[in-house]
This record gives sequence, structure tokens and C-alpha cells, in this order.
Amino acid sequence: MSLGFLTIWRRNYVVWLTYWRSSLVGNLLDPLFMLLGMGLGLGESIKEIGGMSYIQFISPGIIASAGMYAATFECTFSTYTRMAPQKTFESILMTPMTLTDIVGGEILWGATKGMESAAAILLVMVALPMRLTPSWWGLMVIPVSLLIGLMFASMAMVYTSYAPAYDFFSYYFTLALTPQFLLSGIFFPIEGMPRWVQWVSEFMPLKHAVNLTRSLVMGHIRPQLMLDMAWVVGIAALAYFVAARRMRRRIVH
Amino acid sequence: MAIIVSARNLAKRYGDLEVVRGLNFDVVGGECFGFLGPNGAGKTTTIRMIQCLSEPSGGLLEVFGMDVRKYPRKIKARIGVAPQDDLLDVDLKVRENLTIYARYFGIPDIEANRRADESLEFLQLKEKSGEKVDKLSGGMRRRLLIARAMINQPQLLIFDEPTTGLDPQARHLIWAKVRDFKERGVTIILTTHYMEEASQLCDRIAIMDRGVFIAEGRPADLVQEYVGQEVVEIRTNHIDTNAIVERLHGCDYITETYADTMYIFFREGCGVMPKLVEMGLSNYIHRLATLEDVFLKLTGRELKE
Repeated sequence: MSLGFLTIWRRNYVVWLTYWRSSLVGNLLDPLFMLLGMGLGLGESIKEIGGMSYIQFISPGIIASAGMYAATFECTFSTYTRMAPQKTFESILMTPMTLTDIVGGEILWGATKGMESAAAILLVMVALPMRLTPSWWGLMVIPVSLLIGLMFASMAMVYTSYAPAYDFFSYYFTLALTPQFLLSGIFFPIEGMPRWVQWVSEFMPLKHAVNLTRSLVMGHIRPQLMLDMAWVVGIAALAYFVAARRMRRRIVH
Repeated sequence: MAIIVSARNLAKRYGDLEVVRGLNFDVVGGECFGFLGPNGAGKTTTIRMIQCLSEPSGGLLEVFGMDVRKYPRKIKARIGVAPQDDLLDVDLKVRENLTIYARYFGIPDIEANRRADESLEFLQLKEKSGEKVDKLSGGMRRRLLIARAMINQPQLLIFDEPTTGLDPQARHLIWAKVRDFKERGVTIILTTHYMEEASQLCDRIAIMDRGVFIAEGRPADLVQEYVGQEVVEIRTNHIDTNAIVERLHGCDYITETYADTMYIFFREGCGVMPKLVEMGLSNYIHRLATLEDVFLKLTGRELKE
């Protein structure tokens, strides 16, 4: 197996080094406002869910959804920019790098951005005085959010392989991400919803990501997590192979 | 001499469209080989096949003795390309464009840094190292593309229209650099629309039209063969061209008329000039024949697009 994807990852990392400071403020403040606004505001009316305060309940879900958005954004808009208008891939393909290296590197980079967001939120949660990180298992959220990132980055890459223009991506955000954001048990427990909603929710990648982050943050380690993990890894692998295949068809001719 | 690129019945089709139709040529080590032709002639497609970016639909194409279908990565490792489109990485600074590109070839960091500095020096871009790419002028961007193309110390350099859109100073600097590469023994493949550029740089050229070679050889030989040595251009607005043709009866010449100009191609000493002088024509230009005359004669003077 070629390690060329690490070279592509590194190209994106070098670019990131020039802008990470300016994006850090947003990475930290967005989740802070979200947590305080939703957690404390709604928390006034909703006292407790499953033994957790409301802000405790939503904060792990916010980690997972922020990872989803960051990885997706990177592998849709940013990858598309490098692929189409900037023709960065075209010049990389003049070297011994292969398209598989590029797709792999882009997905790993998207996942890295997802992990960066998750880590930033975790940092905010540690800093807030509301016992948002009661367990050391919470540290595992960082490597797990890389896997979650791989899943969403690969899925986004499949979509990007079909994209004719930027407009195309708004459908993905609206139709694929927003329902997941609402129905993955981030803001209210799915267990209380009608049967069919619970059923639909089981097929949402973000639902399994939220299960993982919430259990890890709260230190509720149980066997069912292996199933969630299998979903995440399975979807990531499947989407990666489809994306690599589709991209090859799109770019090499 | 080693054969660097060898094509036999090379063809490329996109659906029903035949872009390249059965090319046969060899590019020999150390030479500069030029592809000329109007837009859509198939030059860029041919070059892309040599770069292993596009697979041939038919025939055989070998680069460094390796089949482009089987060994694209090995071939790419030994080729440098300065593409027609400005394909610099705009997210990176000038020097990073070189160091990161070197890594795509698996060149270790220390060596990549050394080569980046060497290339920047060679293309006179040293003081721009830390600039963003979009701060560079057109000529500088083109030079940076060439600096990037040499980062893997290629044995074959491909320049796809290297001076299109540049001012004369920038163009002459790039020509000097191309000659430098040739001095070092690098084999060069070049496409261009500028006949002067082809005459200046190329040992051999192939003129392409509609996917085939319509002429191939040394620039000077092609001029001799197709248009002779000298040309007279006569503006036809107020002149009876039939009278000229009558007057030149018995001389060995070729004539062609396009737009407002009549071209008379001939060899020295064939009696054309004295007769024209006798006629007392005033509005004409007498000059040496160039590759441009060959090109226009062979590919036709009508617009191609």
C-alpha cells in the first residue's frame, strides 16, 4: 500500500499552518455559544435527561455534529476548490502520486479537521465549570472523532465526485446533514420518539457517532458501543472505496 | 542516441471524436522536439499521453523504453512538465510550491529544500521566495512553473506553450533557460504557436493538423522544402494581381493570396525580383521565408476556430 496519501495530507497541513490561528477563534467560540445558549437556556426548562443535566446531555452530541460539519465542509467545498477551479489535483497527477493517494489524503485531512473541531469543543467543555467531562474516558473522544471524521469525509467525497458546481453542495447539507443533526439524539432522546423515527435514526451515521461520544464523555462504557463503532468504520470503508472509484472515473480519462 | 519517446500508430479517441490519428515519431535523447499546429490539432492530447495523464486508445507509446499504459508512475518520476494552464498551487507560497511538489516525487525534505533554492536561483525568483503566488506577474508565474518542472531533475522536460501571453523580455529569458536545459543534455518537448520560438529552440519540429503530422523535419529544411528561400508580400488593394502573374510567367515560384495580401514564394536567382522591380511596384515587402510561411501554407490560412 502506498503511503502517498500522507504526502497529500501534509500539503493540506502546510496550508493549514498559515490560517489555523484565524480559524481558532471560531472553533472555540462557536461551541461555547452553542453550549451556553442551548445548554443553559433550554436547561432552565429541561432539568434532567437520563441522569444528566441538559448541558451535559447535549455537549457530547455537539462534539460529534461539529466533527461531521468540519469533515464534510473540508471534503465538499474545500476538496472541490482544489479539484476544479484551482486544478491542484491536476498538477499533483503529473507526479508519481496517484488518484488513490489524493483521495486518501483528502479524506484523512477532512477527518483531521473533524478531530480538530472535536478537540476544541472538548477543551471548552473541560474549561466550563459544569462537570461536562466527568470521566477520563472522555479523552478517547479525540481518536474516535478521527474515525467519525473519516466516515463523514468519505461520504462527502462520494458526493463531491458527482459535483458539477458549488451550488450542488447546499443540497447535501440540507438533505443529508440537517436531518441527522436533528434526529441523532443530540438535543432530545430518540427513545421517546415514535417507532419509525427511532428506526430511521438507527440508519443515521451521526446517531452512532453521538452514541460513541456521549458514552465516552460520560464514561458509560458498554458492549453496544462496539456496534456503533462497527457502523462508523463500516460506512467509512464503504464510502472510501466508492469515492476512490468515482473520483478515478471523474478525473482520469 | 537513446530514443526517449517512441510512438507507433498512436491514436486517441473520445467517443466518436478522433483527436490523434496514427502518429509515428521518435524523440531522441538531448534534442528539442517541437509540436506545432493550430488549436485543436491534437498537440496537447499527444503531450498528455506522453505524460501518462491520458491513455492512448490505440497504437504504442513508449517513454524511456517503458509502455505508458504499464509504467505511468516510473515515467512520471523522470519527466518535468511546465503545463499550458497556470497550475501553480495558489494556497502555497512561492518556495513551498517547489518543496511540496518535490515531496510528491518522494524527495526527502533536506534535498527538497536544497533543490528549491537552486531552482529559484536558476529562474531568478530568489527574492520572491516568501511571496504568495498571486502576487507574481505572468512572466514570474511561468518561470515558477519551470522551476517546479525541474525539481525532480527530469531527463525529459515538456513545455506546453511556455511563452504564450508573455512580453518579449519574459519570453527571451524563458528561451535562454530552455537552451540552458538543452546544454545540460535534457531532452525537451515543446508545443508552441509561435514559429519564431520553434525556429529558435527546436532541432526538429512536427506540424500537426487534425490529429496527424503533415510535415516533420528540421525547421530550416521545412522552409526550404515547402516555401523556398524568399517571400514577397504585396498588398492587393489597388493592384491588378493578374498582371503580376502574367509578368512572372516562366519563373519558378508559388503564389497564394489571403485577405489583402498576395504572397509570392521563390528561390533566389529565379528572376522574380527583377521583374517585380521592373513593374515599378511600390507597396510590397521582400523578406526571407520563415517557418510561419510553412505553417500557414500547410495548415491553411483560414481561421481554425
